[in-house]
Amino acid sequence: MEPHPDPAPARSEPETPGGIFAAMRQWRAAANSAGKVGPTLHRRVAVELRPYLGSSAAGAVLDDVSDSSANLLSTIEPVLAGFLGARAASLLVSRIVDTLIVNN
Amino acid sequence: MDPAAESANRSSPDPLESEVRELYSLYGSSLRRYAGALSRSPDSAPDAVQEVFLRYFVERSYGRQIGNPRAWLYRVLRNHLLDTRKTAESKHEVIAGAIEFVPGLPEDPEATLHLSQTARHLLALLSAREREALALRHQGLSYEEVAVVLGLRIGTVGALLARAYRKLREGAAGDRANFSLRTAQAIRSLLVQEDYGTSS
Repeated sequence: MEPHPDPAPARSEPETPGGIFAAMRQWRAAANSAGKVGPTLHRRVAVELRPYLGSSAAGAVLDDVSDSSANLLSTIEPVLAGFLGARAASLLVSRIVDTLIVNN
Repeated sequence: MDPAAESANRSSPDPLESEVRELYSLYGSSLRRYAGALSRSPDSAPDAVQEVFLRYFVERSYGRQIGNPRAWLYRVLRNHLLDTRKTAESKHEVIAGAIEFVPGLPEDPEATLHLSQTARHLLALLSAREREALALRHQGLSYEEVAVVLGLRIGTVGALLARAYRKLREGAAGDRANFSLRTAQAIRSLLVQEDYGTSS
C-alpha cells in the first residue's frame, strides 16, 4: 500500500466557523481586561524565565516586548532556544502560554 | 450561527482572523475527521478542533512564529485529545471502526465484511505507533509533519512507516489474492475514518 503523495487539502469548507471567530473575539476582549497583556503579564513571564536565564537576563529580554504583548512569544522563544535548544524552548513557551495566558 | 458573528465574519479585516479562516478552510475538515477518529466521539470533534484553532489564535496573538501550521494544528489537536482521554491504554490507540463505505467497495455485504476483516487483520499486525504514523500519513501529512505531530525524529517516522508497510506486505503474503487495491482502500478507510461522521 502506498501513501497518498501529500494531496492538496480540500478548500471547500461549507460551514463558516462562526463559533471559532466568536470565541476568538471573546478571548481578545477578555485578555485585554484581565491583565493578560502588558507589564503585568511580562512580570509573570520574567518569573518563569528566571530559572533558565537568570533574573537580569530574563528582565532584559522582556524589555524588548511591546506593551501590547504582541511580540512576546516571538521575542522570548529565540532567546530560550539559544540556551535550551529549539525543542525545549518550544515546550517551555507552550507551558508559559498554558499557565500564564490560557489557564490563568 | 449567531447573526452578529456571521456579520462580523463577513466584515472582519483582522489579518489574524483571516489567517485562521484560511487555515480552517484548508484543514478544518480533515482535522475534524482526525479528531473524530482519535476521540472515538464524532460529537466532540468540532469542539476539539475549535479549541485548537482558538489556541492557534492565542499563540499567534502573542507573536508566536509557527513555521508549519498544519503540523502544529495536528500536534496540538492530538495532545488535546489525548489529554482528555482517561485511560492509559487508550493513549496510544488509533481507532479502527467499521467500514460502511469505501469508494469502489463491492456492494455485496459478504464481500464488504471479508474486506473489513482482512483490513482489520492487517492493521492488527501494526503497533499503535505504526498505525498512528500511517494514519497521519494517509491524512496527507508529510514525513516531517508526522514527526512534528508525534514528537519523533524524521528518521524514526521513516523507519516506523517502512516497518508498517513491510508488515502489511508480509501479512498479506499468505492471502495475496485478497490483498488488492480494495484492501488498501479499506485499510486507508479504517485509518483515517473517512466515514466516521456518518456511520455511527
